[in-house]
Formats: sequence, structure tokens, C-alpha cells
Amino acid sequence: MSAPERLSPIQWDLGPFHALLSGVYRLRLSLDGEVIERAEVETGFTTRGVEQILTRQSWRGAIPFLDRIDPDGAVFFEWAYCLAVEQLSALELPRRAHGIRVILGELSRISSHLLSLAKVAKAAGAESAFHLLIRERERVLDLLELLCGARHALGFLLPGGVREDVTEGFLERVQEVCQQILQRIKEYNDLVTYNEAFVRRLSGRGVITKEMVARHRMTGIPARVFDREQDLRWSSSRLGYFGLKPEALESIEAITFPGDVHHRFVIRLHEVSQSAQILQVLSQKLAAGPFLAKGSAQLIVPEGEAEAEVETARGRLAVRVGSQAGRPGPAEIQFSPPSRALFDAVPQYLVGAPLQDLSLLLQSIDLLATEVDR
Amino acid sequence: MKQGWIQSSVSRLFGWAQAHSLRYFPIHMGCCSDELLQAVGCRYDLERFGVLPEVDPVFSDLLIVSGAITTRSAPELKKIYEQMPHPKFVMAIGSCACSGGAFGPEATGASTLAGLSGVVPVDIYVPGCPPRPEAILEGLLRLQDKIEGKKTASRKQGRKQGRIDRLETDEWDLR
Amino acid sequence: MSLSALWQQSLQLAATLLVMLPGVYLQAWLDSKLGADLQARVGPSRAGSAGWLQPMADFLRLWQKVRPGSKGEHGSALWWAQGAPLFALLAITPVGAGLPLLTAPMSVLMSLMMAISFAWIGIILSWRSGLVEARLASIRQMALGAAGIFPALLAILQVGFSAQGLSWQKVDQIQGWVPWSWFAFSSPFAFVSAMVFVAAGLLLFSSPPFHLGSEAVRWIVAGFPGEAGIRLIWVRFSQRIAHFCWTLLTVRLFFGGAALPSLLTSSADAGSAPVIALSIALTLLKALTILAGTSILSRTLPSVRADQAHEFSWRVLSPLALLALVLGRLISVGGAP
Repeated sequence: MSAPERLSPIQWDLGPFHALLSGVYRLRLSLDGEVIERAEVETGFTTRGVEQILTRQSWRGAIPFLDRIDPDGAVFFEWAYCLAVEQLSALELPRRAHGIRVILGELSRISSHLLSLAKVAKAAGAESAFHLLIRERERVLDLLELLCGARHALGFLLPGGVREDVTEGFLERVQEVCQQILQRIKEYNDLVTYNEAFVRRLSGRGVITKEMVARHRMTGIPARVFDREQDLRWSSSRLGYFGLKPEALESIEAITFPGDVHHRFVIRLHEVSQSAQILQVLSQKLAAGPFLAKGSAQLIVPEGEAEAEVETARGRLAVRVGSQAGRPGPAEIQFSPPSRALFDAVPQYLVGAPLQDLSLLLQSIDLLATEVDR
Repeated sequence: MKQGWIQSSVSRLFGWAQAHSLRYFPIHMGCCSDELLQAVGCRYDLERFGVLPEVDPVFSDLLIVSGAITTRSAPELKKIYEQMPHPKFVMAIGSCACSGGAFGPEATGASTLAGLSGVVPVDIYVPGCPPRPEAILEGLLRLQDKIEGKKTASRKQGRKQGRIDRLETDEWDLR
Repeated sequence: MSLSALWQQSLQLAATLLVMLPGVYLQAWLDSKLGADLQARVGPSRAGSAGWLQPMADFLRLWQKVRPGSKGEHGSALWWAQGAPLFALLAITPVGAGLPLLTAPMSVLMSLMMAISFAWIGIILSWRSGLVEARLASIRQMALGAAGIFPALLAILQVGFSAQGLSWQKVDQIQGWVPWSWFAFSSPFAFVSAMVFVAAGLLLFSSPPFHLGSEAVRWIVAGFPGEAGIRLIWVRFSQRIAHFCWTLLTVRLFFGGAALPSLLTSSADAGSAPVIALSIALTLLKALTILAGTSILSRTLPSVRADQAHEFSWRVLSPLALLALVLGRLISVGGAP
């Protein structure tokens, strides 16, 4: 980079690998002193051709590849895919399968949220909070390992249900961990969330207005800032959250500025506790019965196309699966990840932000480049 | 000879210093990055071994690449490698970085390379999909041995002394 | 000055240097261990038992770094020019009982200026590197430096008024070795000045929590990119050394300095090596305690934004220091001891 002749405006490219970025993408900034005037995002550095690879796999063989698109939310991609395939082949899922999927989904949601909160805390300089949240995440990953045998790439869902039943003692462990999480959240609220210095650092930064949400069609937590009902878990009946919706979805008031980084932090932490409560309820009343639908062993998928959508930790993930007669696997598969809307919003989101807040802002909206690039 | 003794002692000293103070520049291309982050956390605690993340490749001596290497990002990766000062080391985490893995050319992935060794010279490979944090720790310890010039046979001695210790946390035994 | 006096002064200088650098070393080790403990971790434990060799490993690692390609753009003269204020800083920062320039008037202010100039030459050098982030960093550093100096000067003025002079000799005379005879505890206004001085030091040298962000942000806002090898060592450790010297100044001005019980200082061997060594050790111990406190503070608070740091300095620290100075003077002029 050559020496600038004057200090404004400066063109600055943060290359694909940079410590300030929250993933592998290029950010072209136009700076006026230390304030960002214009920003452009360029993704596509982690394209692995997943969708092409999937068309060469069998129906069940596609599952391991889906795990590896999103490292901390593996189950969501599997879930969306399985829902689409089940719709294609008209499989009726037993209640227990739904329940186990919801358990895995909520555990992954907690793990993903904790990681995002830890990254925001680290970007704000609260490194102790980072370590405490990572420690919490370890317990959730232990639970996932107990059930699925793996911490990140779960590979547990199948079209028609889940691969195995829950292991003995798993549900009790889930309750223990959720109890602990709920207690610890009170500690985190004292230490971090309502810590005066932390609030001041985050308040008023990175505001995502209602207009921005509507314009870029954002889903997930930026949308739930203004409307708590924007959640596919309650609005879609295919996901299996029967009777698990909390009675009162109260809106979380911002203590600083609605839609800013701190508000989203508070809401994300609240959703962790919400997920822990759902898990507590579900682990007590998990339906008995088979965990795999009849007909999933010899999967016959007629020709056609089906769509499904799932609420991941970041927002709404949609998938479209097409099948052709005679192919042992999907003929066509296309994902619509939640980070796409967020990446589209980054140019508008970053305008006017000082350079010191760049890392904080980028971590706060929880961008994932691998799910956008696939 | 006295000259040889001084030189070898000095190089051993610097080897020890380098091995016990590795600053790494992480390149998170894919899913293995999560395990690296968990390894930094307090259960596995990379800082015990003097391994700390570094923000600028100019100040770092270890390049940790995790995830599949795509054709588009390979030149940028090489630029980062070239910015690092000598002596420098490279660690490849995950099957995709080691040999292409699930998304590599063997799986007929169109845009991924068959591992990191085609882009930069690799010192240590940590296979797995994704490898557990203990595997990453093992890789770092072996890299430390390699930097200090020890043969890996001495690793068995290390295991007897319990070189890879886990912190006692109040977690249940999974086995 | 006679040859033997010169020789003695050089010996004392060498002793000061020998003592100061291990102090910085201990502070680095303590910082990493304390921080790790607060975060439920262990911290460095492999390099020597309990990791006491970790700062040594970090230091030695940098010696052998060779930057690939071009060397730096600045000539080496400027880099070595940074050595002069470092030397001066180490020379006149008071550590123990016997030190040069004890009686020189305004010697307190001299130490202050040396500390600031040492930290600031790095800023000028980073400007010359021409990189975008280096230039932004240097502007940021200078602004923060100004924000930190003003309250520090006010606090020093308070000490100067009480001691009726700004030489180290006069400052030593108003303090004793027992904690309740320290200047910081002599009146609430003096305590406020002491705290203002500590906070100003954190601001001046970008120490946590005023380090303006995580590593990444700090590198952007207050970093010195573009160097390797010995120059990198200068850059990396200059701020740490300057902050340590600032803490020694704090101890000397506010927390009793190197005062020892009169039993030791009034006897015949007051200038002997063991007594001097004891005074140095005492000063170091107090300095490390203050630094341990700031370590804990930095790990529990999030980082502070640059404009928050400015606000803190101009709206909190400076008025506090001014108030403490004025009220302290009024009350003491009004007759109270």
C-alpha cells in the first residue's frame, strides 16, 4: 500500500485474510480520516462447490457435506435438506424424531449464539467474557458429542428421522447443562451485559433500523429486534416445535438505542436462555416411539422439487431440492442462507462508523462467509 | 571445539525460544476454525505453550491454515506467507488443508486444491474433520519438538510424563 | 566531578539499569499469569516452571527474525535515536536511594519529559513508514498523549506545592516509609492526584483498558507496523518500559518512594550496597503491586474507545486533578498541616 498524499479520502482494502474481518471476504473501504464513508464487500473466497458435489451423492450420502457448510450450526443445513426430501417422498415423521431434531437444533443454536457473543465480547475488548463464554460452549459441545459422537460435524439427521436414538442418560445431562446455563446467564448479565463500561462501549454503535431490515429482507436477530414473532420456529409447523413456544414473547427493550450492537447482544443472550428453557421442557417430555420413519431405509424419492426452510441461529435458511427419476441422490440443490441478506446490508451498515468499531460491527451481525459462498 | 560449542548452544537457545513462543496468524477457511477457537479457550488453553494469536503476519512466525484451500484464495494465502519474517512455519489443520479432504479434487470439487502443500511448504499436518483440540495441541507440541530439533522418538518420553495435560474441570466422564 | 564520584555514579546507573529491566520482565510475567487466572485458565506454564521464562522466550524469538524482501524505509539513525531518550529515561528515573540528579531542580519534570519523548519517538517513526494505519495510529497516539499529560502535570504540581520544589530530594523529604506517611494518604486530595497520575500513565502509553480495543483494533489504531528484528523489539517493548518507568515515578511521588526506616538510613552505612538494594527492592515491589492492580483492571473492563478515552481525560481526570490541586492548596494555606 503506497503512502497516501492526504489523509482523506483513503482507499483501504482489507484483504480476504485480516484480523478485523469476521471471515474470509474482501472489504473495500473508503475512509475519511478514521470514519468509513463507503464500503464494498466481495465474497466468494471459500467457494468449495458444495452444491455441485451434493448432486453427485446419494440421498443419505449428502448429509456429511451439509455438516461442513456451517461449522457451528451443522444440524440446520441437514435439517432443511431432510425436510425437503421428506416432503418429496411424502414421509411422515414420528414425534420422537421431531423431538430429537429440536433438541439438536436448540443445542446448536445455543452453541452458535455463545460463539457469536464471545466474538463480540472479544471485539469490544472484554477478553474475560470471551473465555467464559467459550467455556460455556464447551459443555454444550460435550452434549453434542455425547449424542452424535462429534462436536461440530454432527451427521446425525437422515431423511426420515435421526440416525440413532438418544443415549442413556443424555436427557438428564441436557437438563443439568441447561440449568447451569441459566444460572450462568445471570452471572454474565452482571459481569458483561449490564456492566456500565461495556454498555457505553457498545451503545449507539451499529444501528440496524427497521427500514434496513425491510430493505434487505433480513431475518434472525436483526429482524427480531423489532418484531419478536419473526421466528420460523413458531410460525412453521414443519419444524416440530409443538407446544414449545414460550407463553410470553416479550419484546426486549433496548437500554441504550434500539437496534444497536448492545441491543442485539442482549437479545442474543436472551435467546440462549430461551433455548435452554425449551430444552429443559423437551428433555422431560420427549415423545416415545420410533425415531425413524417407515420407508426411510429404502428411500424412494419421486421426481419433483421441494422447498423447506429452517430457523438457524443466524436467521432463515431456505433450501430447494430437485430430484430426477433414476438418480440415487439429489439432482439439484440450492440454498438461500441468512447471511446473504446481511452481506448485502454491509455497505449501508458500515457507513459512518469509525474504524475502531469495524471489528465490533462485523462480529455483531454474525456474518458467515462459508454459507454464502458454499 | 569451542567455536562449535558456542554456536550450537546459541542455536539451541534460539530454537528453544522460538518453540516456546509461537505467534500464529490464523487463516480460517472452513469448519476447522471452530476447533482452533475452542483450543484457545480455557479448557485446552493454548497459551500454556506460549502459543498466542497474532494480528499481523509481519509479527507472526506460524501460519495456521484450517479449511479447504480454494483456487481463489490461494494467491492471497501465498502473499500472507511471503510477508512473514524468517524463520517461519506452517501448520495445516483438517483433512481439507492436508490433502484436499471432503471437498477436494478427489471428491471432484472443482475449486479446491489438493491440500496446502501446493501453495506453501507445510511443516506439520493435523488431520481430522475437524480434528479435536487435543489433536491440534499434539500438532503444536510436535512442531515445538521439530523446531528444537528433537527427534519424535522423544515424544514417547513426553507421554509418560503426561505432557498433554487437560485441566480438571467439573465435567463428567464421557467414556 | 572527581573521577571516583563519576565512577560511583556510573555504578549506580548500571545498577539502576540492571534492576529496571528485570522489573519490566516480572511485570510481563505477572500480567500474563494474573490475566489467565481471571479467565479461568493457567497461562504460560511450559517455558520454565510456571512459565517464568516465557517473557525471555518472547524476547529472544524476536532477535532472529529476518524480514523477507526490503528493509525498512527509514534510516537506522532515527531508530538509534530512540535509544538516547531510553537511556536518559533509565538514568534519571529514580529507583533507589542513591541516584544521579537527586538534587537537580525540576528533576521530577525531567523524568516526566523523558518518559513521554521515549514513547513518542516511536510515533514519529511510524508516521514515516507511510502506511495508512501507521499514520492514523500516530495521530491517535499524539492526541491521547496530550490528553494524558495535562492531568499528570496537574498532579505533579500538587506534589510540588507540598514539597516546595520539584527535585527528587525535596519530594523524598515529605514522605516516610510507613504507609500513612505516604503523600497519597496524607489528604484525600493527594489521593485523588495519585489516582489521576496512575490513570494518566495508562492513557499516555496505551495500556489496558485504554488500549483501544482487541489486538486487531490496537494494531490499527495504535500500532507500529512494518518492522522486524531489533527494531521490532524496540517498538514492542518501548511502551512497556516507558509505562514501567511511569509507575516508578508514581511510587516515588505518591507512595513513599524508596524511603526506608530511619534506623537504616541514619546509621553509618546509609549509602552502602545492601541498603541501596533494599530501597530498590521496596520501590520495585510497590511498582509491581500497582501494575498488578492495573492488570486486573484491564482484564475485567472492556476496552475503551478513543473518543471515550478523550472524554475521560478532559471531562473527568483534568477537572478532578484541578479540583484536588486547588482545594488541597486552599486547605493547607488555610492552616491545616
